[in-house]
Amino acid sequence: MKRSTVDYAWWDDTYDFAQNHDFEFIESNFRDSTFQNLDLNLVIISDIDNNLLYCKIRDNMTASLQADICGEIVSNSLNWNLTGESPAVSGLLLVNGQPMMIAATPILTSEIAGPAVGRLMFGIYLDSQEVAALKKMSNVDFSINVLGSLQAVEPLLLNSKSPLLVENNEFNISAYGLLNDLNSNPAFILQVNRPRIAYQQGAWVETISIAFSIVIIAIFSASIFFVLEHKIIRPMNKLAASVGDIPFQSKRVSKGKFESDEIVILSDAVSNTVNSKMDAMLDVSSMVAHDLRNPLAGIRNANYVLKKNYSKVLGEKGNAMLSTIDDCVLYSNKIVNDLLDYSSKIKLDRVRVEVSELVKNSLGMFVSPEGVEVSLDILEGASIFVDPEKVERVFCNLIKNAFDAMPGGGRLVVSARRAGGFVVVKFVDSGVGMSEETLRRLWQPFFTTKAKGMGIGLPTCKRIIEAHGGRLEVKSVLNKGTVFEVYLPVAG
Amino acid sequence: MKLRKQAAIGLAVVSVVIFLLLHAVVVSVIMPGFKSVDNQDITEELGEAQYCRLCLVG
Repeated sequence: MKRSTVDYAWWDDTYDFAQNHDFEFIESNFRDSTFQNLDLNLVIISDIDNNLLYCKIRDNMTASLQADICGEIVSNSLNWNLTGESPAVSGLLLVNGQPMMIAATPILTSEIAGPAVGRLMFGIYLDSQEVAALKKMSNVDFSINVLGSLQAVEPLLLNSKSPLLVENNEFNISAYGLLNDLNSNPAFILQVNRPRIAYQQGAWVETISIAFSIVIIAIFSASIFFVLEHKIIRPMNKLAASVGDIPFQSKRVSKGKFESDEIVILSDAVSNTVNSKMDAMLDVSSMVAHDLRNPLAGIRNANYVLKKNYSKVLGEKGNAMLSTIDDCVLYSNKIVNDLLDYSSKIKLDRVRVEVSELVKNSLGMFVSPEGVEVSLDILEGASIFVDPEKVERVFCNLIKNAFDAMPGGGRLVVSARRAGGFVVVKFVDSGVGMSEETLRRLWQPFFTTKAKGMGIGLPTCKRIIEAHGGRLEVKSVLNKGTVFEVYLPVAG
Repeated sequence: MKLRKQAAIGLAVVSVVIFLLLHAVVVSVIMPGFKSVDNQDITEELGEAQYCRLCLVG
């Protein structure tokens, strides 16, 4: 528009019109088509004395209003700096309530020679169409608002005198700045809108960092849990489950079983405590058993004398009571002997002996219960170097247990074979079997499932076999049967 | 209380605290930097629009 203003203002015909006021120039050069072609809304020509020569506003307004506006613009133009280096001035004016871009140029000859004889002003309304074109051209998303139309930001803007920034939402930001009109009065608010590109990038960084921190925290938590589970909780649970298996002899539990030194230390502490308490209990048991032996012998002898000398006097009922006393004394004696066996150190009188002989001797001490079938599968010629009396006690104990486990009949198979440096004597019964809990506590002293029994038979058997350098193993399935395996070293 | 439960509660509390701290650092240190870039850009664009690209100030 500035260029168009200069083109028309520095033209001899315009120069002549400003001097001679020949309106043929206007009719020829400022037709409606001229306004349309140049997209103009306002044309004003004034002379050097600031008299209005020609004014036209392409708008729906009355002629008098048009005249008033033109007069006001011309009178204000006296303040515009039209004598400077710039051939034209341009800026905004509020015309009929709308912002109008105005360019004004002094009228000179075609040779750009003076003196200036007047002023030529062109104006274009900054309506939505014009603003859209400017947006496209300048690549700036803006709007021009008349002062008074943006009550939300105006007070802040007028107070601060500097651009006002408003974050509309997380996607857009607006900046507001005051615009002075050509008369240097604040008249408009320029609003520039812009996407918050950096903020969006920041939000993306924030999302990534949050996701990253969640992943890191999850990995950290999982690692802590993994270490806790595998280094502490599981070994402790294993230890808790294995407390029952801790041996009653003070020996260190292998590291492999509980995995960490602290757990082994704890295991040792538990084992030592249990052993010391058990040792004390066995000492007391041994002492009591030893002290009971003599009174029991006395009772038995007295009973024998009574039976021998007074059986006729006491009659049938009295003799029955003496027999009961005898049985009770015998049973008490057995308990005492068992306790002494378990609590005392095992001494072995080893001799070379055939396994088959030991098994047959042991079986010979029993009469098979009704419905129980006993079969033998013994390897002949396998000799072992053992204390035969003690090993026979072990075999007898196992055979008795097998018979007790088959109250309704069944089958007991006793077999012997060689396995490496051992002779394995196996007692397989088809009895009631044992539960997991019973199996777990089987070697524990004073644990028994029988109504009558001390629960030290099997622990004593285990001690005897281990004293021979062998081992005693058991497998059992509830309601199916039990297998005891006695490993004894082959005689060298 | 079982060790697993205690560990789970402890880790959950620590995780939430770490997460909140990280979030606070991001919101109070990183985001203002990004915001200021946008603010600077649009302020420059407003000035350019007024004096250069649109020449709205005569």
